[in-house]
Amino acid sequence: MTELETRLRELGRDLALPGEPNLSAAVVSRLQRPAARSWRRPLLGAVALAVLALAIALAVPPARSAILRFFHLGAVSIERVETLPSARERPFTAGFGPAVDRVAAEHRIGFKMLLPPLHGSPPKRVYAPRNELLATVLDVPIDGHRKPVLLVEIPGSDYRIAKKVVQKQTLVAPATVNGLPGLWVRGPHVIAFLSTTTGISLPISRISGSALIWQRGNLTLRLEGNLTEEQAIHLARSITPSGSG
Amino acid sequence: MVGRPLDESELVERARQGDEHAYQEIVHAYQGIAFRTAYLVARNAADAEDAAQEAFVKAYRALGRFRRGAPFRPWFLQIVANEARNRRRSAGRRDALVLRAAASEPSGEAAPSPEAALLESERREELLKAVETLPQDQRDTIACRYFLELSEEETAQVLGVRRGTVKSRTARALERLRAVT
Repeated sequence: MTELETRLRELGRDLALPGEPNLSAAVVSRLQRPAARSWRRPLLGAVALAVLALAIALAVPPARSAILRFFHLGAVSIERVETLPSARERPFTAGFGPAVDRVAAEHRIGFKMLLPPLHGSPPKRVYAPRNELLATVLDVPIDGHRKPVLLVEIPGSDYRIAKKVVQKQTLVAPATVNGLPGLWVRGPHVIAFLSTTTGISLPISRISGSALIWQRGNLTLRLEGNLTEEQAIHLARSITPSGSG
Repeated sequence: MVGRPLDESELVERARQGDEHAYQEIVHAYQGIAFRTAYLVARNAADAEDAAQEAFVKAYRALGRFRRGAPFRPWFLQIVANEARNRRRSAGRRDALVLRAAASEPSGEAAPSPEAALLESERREELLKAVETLPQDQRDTIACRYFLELSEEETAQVLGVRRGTVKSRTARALERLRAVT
């Protein structure tokens, strides 16, 4: 080996590469799903169903205006309006109340929170407003930087729990996360978390950034942060039961 | 009774028969080099992670076509490199390679003087800059041969070219690097 080759090898050992991710959990999770199912099939199926439902609804004049302004996925409803209701930008956890013990909250609400691989650092603060949902702020590595994201998980399919109000310019597009149906909402919108028992949303209404919503079995997950769609889906794909740490 | 650890070929054979635990051990063993390979090709941490993860899934599903007794590493890294290349083509932004802030000193030697350390640091930066200006195919070859420390045979398989092509690309790249450093 020449001196130059030796120097190149040493150079390779001195490169500042990003931290190596732990891929085991995500890979195993993906292996446990059937191989034949392509992401295109559920997406095309969902789009076809949506088009069919829309076509049927549009055939009924009174339903026209309503169906164009309102739809839902799992426990999240989305309403499109001309003008956003009054709300302001607030911290992710505004109105969620005090942080609670994660394990105790999981036990109370009846499900174990799904999380991305956390490399031994579980979320420091978990919130369980009204014992109806679980939420946490995670500091996740994105493109070599750490970014805070809000992960909300809502059991059940009562679509009144999380309500998004979007304006005309806000993009609401179908998305898939590991073959599961989802929606990508890009642009400012107002998010409100309502109570199933009282229907009261305040004081949690606030202006939200872009968000990814997807449904996994009986659970609706919502990821919010300063992320692109690609980054959000990439992060969402790693959120699995075995990814919990 | 304490079982002996399984070697790679046994793990691959078990994984081929559907043993996910065996494959998980393979993932654990290879995730580091898979990510490094993907990063050196894609130059983006998120793309590299995505490519490595996708490669593990594709490799598992392709194990039926993997030739028994063949080395797993180059076969698998070829899948990683393909996935990373696909992402490199579609990516709008790529990170430049950078050196660690404080490179490790050679063991057993006295610490160099501040002047010597600075000079060495500049030489390494200069060499890295020169590598970065190589044509893509030569840069990938240098990354495989020296940064990932793969053999010529492995490099050929990973890049999907003949061994002779690896030799000629390496020679051309080294020639360019000698000329500019």
